[in-house]
Amino acid sequence: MSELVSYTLMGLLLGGLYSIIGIGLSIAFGVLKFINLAHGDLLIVGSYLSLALLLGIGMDPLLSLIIVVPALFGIGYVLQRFLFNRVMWRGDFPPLMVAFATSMIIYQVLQIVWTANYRTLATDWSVKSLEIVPGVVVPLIYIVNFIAASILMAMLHLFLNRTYQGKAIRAASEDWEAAELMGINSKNIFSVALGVAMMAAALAGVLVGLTSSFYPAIGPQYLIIAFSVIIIGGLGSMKGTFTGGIIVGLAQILSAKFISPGYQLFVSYIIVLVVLAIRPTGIFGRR
Amino acid sequence: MTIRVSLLIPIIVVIAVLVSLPSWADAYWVFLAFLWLLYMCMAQMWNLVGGFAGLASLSQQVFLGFGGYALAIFTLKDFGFGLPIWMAIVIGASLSGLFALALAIPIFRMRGFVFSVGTIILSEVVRTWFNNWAYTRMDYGIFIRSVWRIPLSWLFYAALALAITTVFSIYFILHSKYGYGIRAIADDEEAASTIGVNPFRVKLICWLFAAFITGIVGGLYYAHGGYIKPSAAFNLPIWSMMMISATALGGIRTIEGPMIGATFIVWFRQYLAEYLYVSLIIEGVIIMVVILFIPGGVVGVARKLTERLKIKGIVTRPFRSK
Repeated sequence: MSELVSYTLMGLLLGGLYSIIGIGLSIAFGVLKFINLAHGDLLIVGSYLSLALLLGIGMDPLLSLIIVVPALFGIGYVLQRFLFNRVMWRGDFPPLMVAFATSMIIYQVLQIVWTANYRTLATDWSVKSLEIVPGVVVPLIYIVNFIAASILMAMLHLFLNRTYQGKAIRAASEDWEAAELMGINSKNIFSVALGVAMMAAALAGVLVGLTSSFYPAIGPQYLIIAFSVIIIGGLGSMKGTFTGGIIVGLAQILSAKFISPGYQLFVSYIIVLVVLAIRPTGIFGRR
Repeated sequence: MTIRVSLLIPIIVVIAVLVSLPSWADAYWVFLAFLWLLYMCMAQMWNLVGGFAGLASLSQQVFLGFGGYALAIFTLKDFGFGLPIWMAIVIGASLSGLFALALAIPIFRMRGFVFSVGTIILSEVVRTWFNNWAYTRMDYGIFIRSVWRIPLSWLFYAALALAITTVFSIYFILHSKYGYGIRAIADDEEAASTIGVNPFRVKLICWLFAAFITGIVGGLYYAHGGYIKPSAAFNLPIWSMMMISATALGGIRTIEGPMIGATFIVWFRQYLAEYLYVSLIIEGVIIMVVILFIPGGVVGVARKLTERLKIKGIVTRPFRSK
């Protein structure tokens, strides 16, 4: 019984990490109206940057966020400014293919630089476990994930509602033409939006590295998780993303427990495909 | 419907060269031509689905893998079937088609980006399933011993027959009633359905045909390779990148495009055979550059050039009386 409680709790807490993975994709999709197929690979770039800092100067992964987060903001900004902004206006197909090519290029470059081996950022504190009540044991990093998710959501909420850039992003996601008439430089705002999405991805990447292992080919897996989160939670709503993250986290942990660890992703993928087939815009999503 | 005479001559020359190839070229060139034919078929099928029908699918390698696995399962005695190879290939292609049919209703509900991501998920689902399926020996893979003695030239002729059938059927599909429907739904699905095109049926024809042919390609490819494992057969980068970059480079929504594109891909994948990662990066850069700067690909550029030369009177000189 207490084992079941632990697993459920772990699923809930892992949901925090998954909502961080999803929120970046959700922001980018809300504004840019296209799915950045390179989201997962850019997230892993965050993990590798943190790994480089850990191996190079022995920086703690959580501390490395002060470098990794701005670096990914830069990558996101540049990608949008010089690549996606050029093709976004030409229908669904060109941006999709350019994003797919970006994803594959990043994957192969990581493969060449870091080889295909499994890596992890796990440090001595991240592998500790915490016994909350007698019999209910949860890894410390899962709690960190959940706290990080709560802080990120609060910060994003403040950013989107209180700052000029945030308000401009929201305006552009409602109607970019009207926003442009109000004097918003939409090209710049689109680039900032992908930059902010990549900041969330950087946080996700470091936490993923601390929670489990990663390798260059894992990008699509996190793209699918991010996509599952926003599809189950609904596109463009923060509460929905949080709920979606928790549902995906629970589904994964419980199916690993009750079916087989090999099939844990399989089950959550099937759930997404079913949701997609029934309602392509998500469960709670606004139309 | 007629085929232009100016087109017939190059077609006959190319087919004649390919038919006689095993008798004068050495085995390596036959192998390259075999790869080219298979890559070309896959790229043609991606072009039909992703280019003409507007379904930007990233899951075509699933059908390839099905073809390969059917070949392994139905020809090997260990699995209890031991059927002849051609029969296993037909079964594999039919299973691909059936799988595509079963998926059609749920997957066609998705549009645009959602469709593409849906197909990525589908591809990962199938890969994960085969990775964990003890019956197909998980990721240890299967040595397809039953096909090890087949001479390359037989496979080459099979691939040639498949390629000719594929190219001509695409030509006939595109010049039939359905062909105009296909182009109409890719441009504007709602407008097309108001003028009497059934988008579901038209997409379904392309989707099923592509699944069937890609399944046969899988069978032939693994009949040469002789070893199959899920992480290679259902590999998203290796196969989808090849199909998309070949199509984009040659010229999307043209029949000649995938043929020209596949030539380049086979060439530098062989040239960089030891550095697969580098060739995949090149393919990614090709996709980006082509989409950003030359959306028509090689065929688009060639068509523009001939237009210009026609205006200058270089290509087709009109009869002038002095």
